[in-house]
Amino acid sequence: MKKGILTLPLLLLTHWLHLVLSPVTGGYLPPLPKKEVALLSTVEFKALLSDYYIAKVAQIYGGPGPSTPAQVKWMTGALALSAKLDPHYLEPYYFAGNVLPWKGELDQAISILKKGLEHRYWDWRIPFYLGFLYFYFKREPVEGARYLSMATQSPEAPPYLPLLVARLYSEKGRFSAAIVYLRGLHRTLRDPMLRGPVKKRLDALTIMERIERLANEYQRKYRAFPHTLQDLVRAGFLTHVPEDPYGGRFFFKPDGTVWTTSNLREVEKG
Amino acid sequence: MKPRAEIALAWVTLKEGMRERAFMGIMTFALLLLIASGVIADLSIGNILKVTQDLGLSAVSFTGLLLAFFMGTHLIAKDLDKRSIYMVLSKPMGRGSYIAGKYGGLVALVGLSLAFITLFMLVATFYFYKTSRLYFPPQIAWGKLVLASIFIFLEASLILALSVFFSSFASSPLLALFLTLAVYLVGESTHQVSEILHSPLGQRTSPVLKALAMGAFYIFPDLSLLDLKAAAVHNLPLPPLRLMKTALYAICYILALLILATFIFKKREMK
Repeated sequence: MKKGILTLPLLLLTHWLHLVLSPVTGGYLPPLPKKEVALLSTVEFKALLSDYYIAKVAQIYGGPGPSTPAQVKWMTGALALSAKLDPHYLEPYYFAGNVLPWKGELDQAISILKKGLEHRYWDWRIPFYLGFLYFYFKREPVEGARYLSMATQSPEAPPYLPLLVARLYSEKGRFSAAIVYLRGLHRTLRDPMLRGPVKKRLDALTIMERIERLANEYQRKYRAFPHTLQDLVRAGFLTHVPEDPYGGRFFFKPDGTVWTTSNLREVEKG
Repeated sequence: MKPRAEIALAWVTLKEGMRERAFMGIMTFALLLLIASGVIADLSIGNILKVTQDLGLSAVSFTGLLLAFFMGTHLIAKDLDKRSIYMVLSKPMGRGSYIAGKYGGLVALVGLSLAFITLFMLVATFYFYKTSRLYFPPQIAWGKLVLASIFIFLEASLILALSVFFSSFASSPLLALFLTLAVYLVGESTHQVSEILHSPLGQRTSPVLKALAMGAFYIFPDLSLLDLKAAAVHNLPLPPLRLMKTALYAICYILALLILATFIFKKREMK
C-alpha cells in the first residue's frame, strides 16, 4: 500500500517534467519527410498520414490570427505530401486550390491541382478550381476557359455550373468574378468549418465590390475620384465606413481600386 | 489421411487461440481503436466520414496483422515448446496434416475476429454517417467496405501462411516473427520501390540495386495488390475479373507456402 502511495508523487513529477520539456503551444509543425520515405514507411496505412496532415493544415487554417510564412510553407509541403499519400482524397486539392493562392503560393497550388486531375479525373471541382486560378490570379482567361470547360463537361458537374462559368466570364470587375466563384464554391462545401472562411471571404469581397461600384458613381457625379471612404460617407453614398470582416481597413489604392490593410487574411487583434 | 483429423486440430487451435491473453488484448485494442475513430475523425475537417472509414478499415487491417504475426508464430511455437506436438503426431496424423490443421484453425481464428471487427466497424461508420454534421453526407460504398475487409482477411491469411512457413524451420518463435515481419515489409513496398525505380529518380540507382529490387518484386508477395482500402473509401471502380485474379494470386501463394512448409516440417528433426 505504501509503495502504491509513493508512485503518486512520482507520476505527478513525470507529468510536470513532461509539460516542462514539451509544452503544448498548438504551434508545433510536424516534420515533412521526403515523399519516397513517407510512401515506403507508411506501408498500407498511407491514408492515415494523409488524414493527419490535412487535420493539421485545417488546424492552422482555422486557427486564430494570420498564418506565418513558416506555416504557409509547411502547409504547401503538407498538402503536396498528403495528395501523394492519398491521391484520391479531395481535401488536399480543396486546400491547395482555395487557400494556398490567397497566401501567395499560386504555382504550388496549380502544381498540386494538376496532379489531382490525373487521379480524380471524374471530379469537376479540380478543373473548376484550376480554371478560376488561371482566370483570377494568373489572368490567363484562355487557359482558365480550357479548365472551366473541362469542369462543365464532367458527367458529375452540377446543373448550375455552366451558368456559373458563363457569369464568371460576363463579369467585368475582378471582385465580381471572385464573388461568383466563391458563391459556387460555397454551394459545394459540406463542412460548416470550411463554409465559414469561404463565407467570410465572400462577405469581404462583396463589400469591396460595392465600394468600388459606389466610387465609380461618385466619380460620375463629382468628376473626381474619392480619396477616402469618408468621402463616400460625406456624399451620402455610404451611411458608414464598412468594416472588413478580417479586421483590416478598406482604402483606395492610387489606381482607384479598393483594397484592405488585411490583404484578405486574418488580422491579429490587440 | 482423414480430413476429420485436420478439422479436429483446426477446432482445437481455434479454441486455444481464443483463450490466449494476446488474442483478448488485440481484440480489446481493436474495439477501442474503432470507438476512438469517431473522436479522432471529429478533429478533422471536410469529409470526416472519409477519415472515419480510413480509421475503421485501418483498425480491421491492423487487427488482422497483429493476429497473423503473433498468433501464427506463437501457437506453433507453443506446441513445440510444451511438447504437445508429440501427442498430436502420435495420433494417426502426418506432419502435413498437422500443418493443414494448424493453419486452418489459425485462419478460422483470424477470419472470425475480422468478421466481428468488420461488423463493429460498419455499425460505427453507420452511426457516424447518421450523426455527421455535414451538409451533404457523401455516399458510402458499404459493399466495397466489406470487400476491402475480405481482402484484408486474404492478406492476413497470406501472412499466417508465411508465419507457418517460417515456424516450420525457425529455431525460435522470435526468429519466425522477425522473418514474417521482414517479408511483410518487403511485400508492402516492392510495388512502390519498382515505381520509384521506373521514375526519373531511378535513373541514378545502380544496376545491381535495381536488379535486387526487381528480384524482390518477383519473389516476395505483392501485398499492395490486396489493399483495397483506398478503393473502398473513395468508391473507385473494382473490376470483378481483377478481383478474382488478385484473390487467386493470394490463394496460390498461400498454397505454395503451405506445401513448402509441409516439405520442410517433414524433414525437421524433433528433439
